[in-house]
Amino acid sequence: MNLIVNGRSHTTTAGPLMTLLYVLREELGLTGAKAGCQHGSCGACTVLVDGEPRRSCLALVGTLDGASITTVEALGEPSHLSDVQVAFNEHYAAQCGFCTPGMLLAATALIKRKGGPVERDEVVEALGGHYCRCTGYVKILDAVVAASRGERLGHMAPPTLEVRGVEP
Amino acid sequence: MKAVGANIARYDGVAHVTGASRFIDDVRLPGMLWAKALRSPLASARILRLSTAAAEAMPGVHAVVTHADVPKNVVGHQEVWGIAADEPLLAEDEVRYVGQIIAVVAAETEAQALAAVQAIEVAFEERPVFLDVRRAWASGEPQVAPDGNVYFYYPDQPQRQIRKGDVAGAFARADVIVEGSYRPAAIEQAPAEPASAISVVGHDGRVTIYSTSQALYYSMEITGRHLCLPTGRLKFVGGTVGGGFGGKLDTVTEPVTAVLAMKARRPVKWRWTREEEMLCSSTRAAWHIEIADAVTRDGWILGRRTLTLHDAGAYMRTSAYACSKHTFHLAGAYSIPACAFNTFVVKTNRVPSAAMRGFGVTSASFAIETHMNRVAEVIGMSPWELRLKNANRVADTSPSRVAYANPSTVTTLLGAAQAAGVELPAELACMTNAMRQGDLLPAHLVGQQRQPGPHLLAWRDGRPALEGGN
Amino acid sequence: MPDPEVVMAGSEAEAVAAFGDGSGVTVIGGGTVVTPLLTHGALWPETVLMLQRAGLGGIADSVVDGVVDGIADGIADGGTLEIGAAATLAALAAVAPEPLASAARIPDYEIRGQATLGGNLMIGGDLQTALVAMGARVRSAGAGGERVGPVAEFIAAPWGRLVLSVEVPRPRAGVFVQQRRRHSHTHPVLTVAVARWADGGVHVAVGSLAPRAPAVACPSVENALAGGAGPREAAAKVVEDVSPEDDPLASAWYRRRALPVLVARALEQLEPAPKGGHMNVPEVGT
Repeated sequence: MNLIVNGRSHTTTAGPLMTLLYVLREELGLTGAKAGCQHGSCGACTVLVDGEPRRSCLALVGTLDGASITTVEALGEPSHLSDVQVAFNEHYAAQCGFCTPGMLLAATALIKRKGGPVERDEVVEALGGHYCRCTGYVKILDAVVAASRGERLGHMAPPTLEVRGVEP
Repeated sequence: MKAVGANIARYDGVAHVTGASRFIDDVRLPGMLWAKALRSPLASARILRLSTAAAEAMPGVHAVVTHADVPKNVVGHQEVWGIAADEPLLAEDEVRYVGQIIAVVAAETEAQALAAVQAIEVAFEERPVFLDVRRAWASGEPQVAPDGNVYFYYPDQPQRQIRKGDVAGAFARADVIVEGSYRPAAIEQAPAEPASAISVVGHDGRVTIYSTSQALYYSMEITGRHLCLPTGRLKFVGGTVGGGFGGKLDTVTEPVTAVLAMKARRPVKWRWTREEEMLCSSTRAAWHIEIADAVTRDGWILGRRTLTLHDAGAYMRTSAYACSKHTFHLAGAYSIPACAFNTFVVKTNRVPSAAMRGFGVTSASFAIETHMNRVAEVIGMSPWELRLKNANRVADTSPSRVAYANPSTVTTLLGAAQAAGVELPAELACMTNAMRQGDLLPAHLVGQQRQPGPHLLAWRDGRPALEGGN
Repeated sequence: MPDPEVVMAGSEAEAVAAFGDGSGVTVIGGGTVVTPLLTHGALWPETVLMLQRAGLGGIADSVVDGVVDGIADGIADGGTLEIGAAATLAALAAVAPEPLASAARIPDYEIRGQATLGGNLMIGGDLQTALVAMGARVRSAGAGGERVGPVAEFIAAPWGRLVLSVEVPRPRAGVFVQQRRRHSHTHPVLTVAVARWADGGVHVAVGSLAPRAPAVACPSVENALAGGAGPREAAAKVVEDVSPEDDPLASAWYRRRALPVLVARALEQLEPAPKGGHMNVPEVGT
C-alpha cells in the first residue's frame, strides 16, 4: 500500500488489517498521533485523511492506498506555527498535551471547512468526539474560535523554566 | 512576583502544539518487545493450575513471567506507616478481583503477545464473592483476606476514630437529630494517556525504566524492593505524563517490565489499553458514609457522629492513609465541638482503590456538605445561614484539636454567595472570621476555643523561642 | 493463529460470492466496529471481507444535482431512496430525509465520516429506530440467496446476512428525538423516530430500550393517533408497546417514565416539511 504522509510517499509493509496509527507511529516514527484508547472513542489518534479528520486507530491500511495523510508534525514548526497552534499555546489549551495533536488537526480541518470564523457551538460539534481530561475544554474552545478569527495575543513572556537538553 | 498575572508561555507549550512532547509510548528502543497480560476473569478464585509452556512456544514470544519470576513478589506500599504488605505483583495461588494480573507475555508484536496470552493455561476454583461493604460484619460472608474483611488500625481496634467532647450529652440536648447516608461511587481517573513503562537492562546490569509514574522516586523505591536491587542499580526516566490524577502511582508496569526485560534480555514495553485503565487500574474508592448531627432549632450543630465504610477493594494499597485523611475532615469547615467519627477500611473483591485528587477528602466533603443542606432543610433555615453560623473562626478547634489561626470559611462563603448572585441579609454579609463572642458564642462552644498554636519563631537570648499562642 | 485471508471485493457480486453463507467471514464496512476488536485481540477472523471498493456506497463527498456517489436521490416529495450498505453516516446526515438524517448525527463528525449504514444495522445501532419508523426495506445476501424484507424483521435476526442496500421511503415529514447524557456522542439512553406520510398516517418507533434489543414500532401510539388522539394522549400509550430493561446507562423505570415525554415531544414537532427542504430538528438532550 502506498500512502502519502505529510507530502512524502511511503510504501507500507504492514498488512491490510493494520491501522494507520500503527504505520504512523511504528513505521514512520511520527508519534504525534497517540494511542489513547484504540477504540475510536477518544480522538487522540486523529489525523487528516484526504483533508478529513479521521481516527487513525480505526483506519485500516487496506483502505488507504493512495490516500494523503496529514499529521500534527506537518502543521507547523517552532519557528513557524500555524494559527491554531499559536492559539492553543496562547490560550493554555494544552496541559499534559496528550489530546492536543488530535484537537489541533480536527480544529484545523473545521476552520478550513468553514472557510472563516467559527462559532463556539460549531467547535463543540466538530471536536465533540475528542476527550480531554485536563483542561475542562473551555480554553480549547477559546483557542479554536480565536484561531478562526486570526487573532493572536502577541507577546507571551518567555518560560521561567529552561529545559536543558532532553535525554533519550 | 513578576509571574503572577503575567502571560507566561509554558515551557512545554511549543512542544505540545507541535506534537513533539515525548510521552513514554513515544520512546523507541532497538529490539523492543511488546507486553500483554493475562488477567483474572473472576472476582475470587483459587488458582489450581497455571502453565505458560504453550505460550512460551508461540511465535515471536521471548518471555512469559509469573509470580515465580519476581524476586520479591509481595511488597507493601506503606510499610513505613505500619501497613503490612499484602498484595502480590503477579497472582500467586489466588485471585481476588476481576482484572488481577496473573501472567505477562513479551513478544515481538502486540498481536503475537495477545495470541500467546490466550495460550496460557490456567484453571480456577471459583469462590463466593464479597462486594457489599455494609455486610462487613455480617456472619457467613466470604472473607477476602486471611485476616478478614475489616482492616485493624490497632491490634484491638479496627477503626480510625476521633473522639472529642461530650457526644452523648450533645445528642441528649439536641432539638432534633438529622441523619443521612451518602454513597459516592468509585471514580476512574481515566487519564488520556494509559499507563505505560519500558524497561531495558544495560550492559552493566543497571535497569533503566521509562515510566508514566507521577512519582518517580516512589515507584523506583517500590520497584527496587520487588527486584531486590538497591535503587542505585535502577534509573527511572519520566516523560511528559499524559494525565495521572492519582492513578499513576500504582507501581505495576515498572517492576513487571523489568522482570520481563531481564528474562527476555530485550527491552520490553507494556502499554495498558483503555479497557485495562477503565476496568483494572485502581480507582478512587467507593464510600458508604452515615452522618448523624445533633442540631438545635436555631441552627447550631452540637455534635456529629459518623460511620464510614471505605471500599478498599481486594488489597490495602493506600486505603488506610486515605481513611485517616477522610476522618480528620469530617467536621469540614465548621466548628463542631462534640465528635465521634469512626472510619473502617473494608476489603472487597474489587479492584483495589487508590489515590485520586483530594484523596480521602472529596468523599467527606460531598457527604458533609450535602448533609448540611439536609440539616438546613429539616430546621427550616437558609443553608447559607447555617454554614455561616457554624463556620470555623479564629480559636475554634478542629476535631483533632488543632486551633485555627486564620480560617477562611466565612470569607469563602461570602465570596461564593456573591459569585452565585445570592444576596445575603446584612447580619450575614458583614460576618468575619474573628474569634467568637456574643451571639456567635453559644454555651456549647465556650471552652472548646483555644488560642492558635505558636506561629512566631524568634531568636531570643541566644536560642529559638516560640511566641504567641500556647 | 494464522493471519486471516483478506478479500477486498471490487463489486457487489464479488462481495456476495466471498460472503457465501457468512460462516467464518468478518465483514468490514467502515471499520469503526471491527477494527478495535482486531486491535485488542477480541476477534481472530478466518476471512475478512472489506467492502470499501465494492461499489456499495463508498464515502459521499457532496450533493451534485441531487445525486450522491452511490446514493440515487428519489423524487423530492415522496419517492424512495436506495442507499448502499457502505454509504457513510456523514452522507446520510447530509442528504437523507428526516428522521434518518438526524439519527445519523449521533456519532461524532469523525466517526460519521467512516461508519456505514450496513455496519450500523448489523450491530443494532441507532439508525434502526429511524428506519423502522420509515418502513425501510433491507436487501441482503447470505444463505438462501438475496432477500428483501422489512427492516424490523432484519434487525431481529441479522446474523449470517450481508447488507447490500436499504430502500428508504421519503416521508412528508420526520422527527428524531433522543435522550442522552449531556456530553456529546455517547450512546443514547432512548431514541424516538416519527414519520408522517402524504396520506396523513404517522409511524412511530422507539429504540435503545435494552442492551442489544432491536428498535420497535409503536402500534398503540399509531392507532391512538389514527383515532384522533392528540400527541400527549397518544404518546402515553407507548408503554404498552415496549419492554425496557436496566442497563449501565439507565434503568427500565427511567425509560418507562421518559419515553412518553419524548414521544410526545417528537409528535408535537412533527409538522409538514417546507417544500424541497429538510426539517431542522433540535436535539433533545438530558
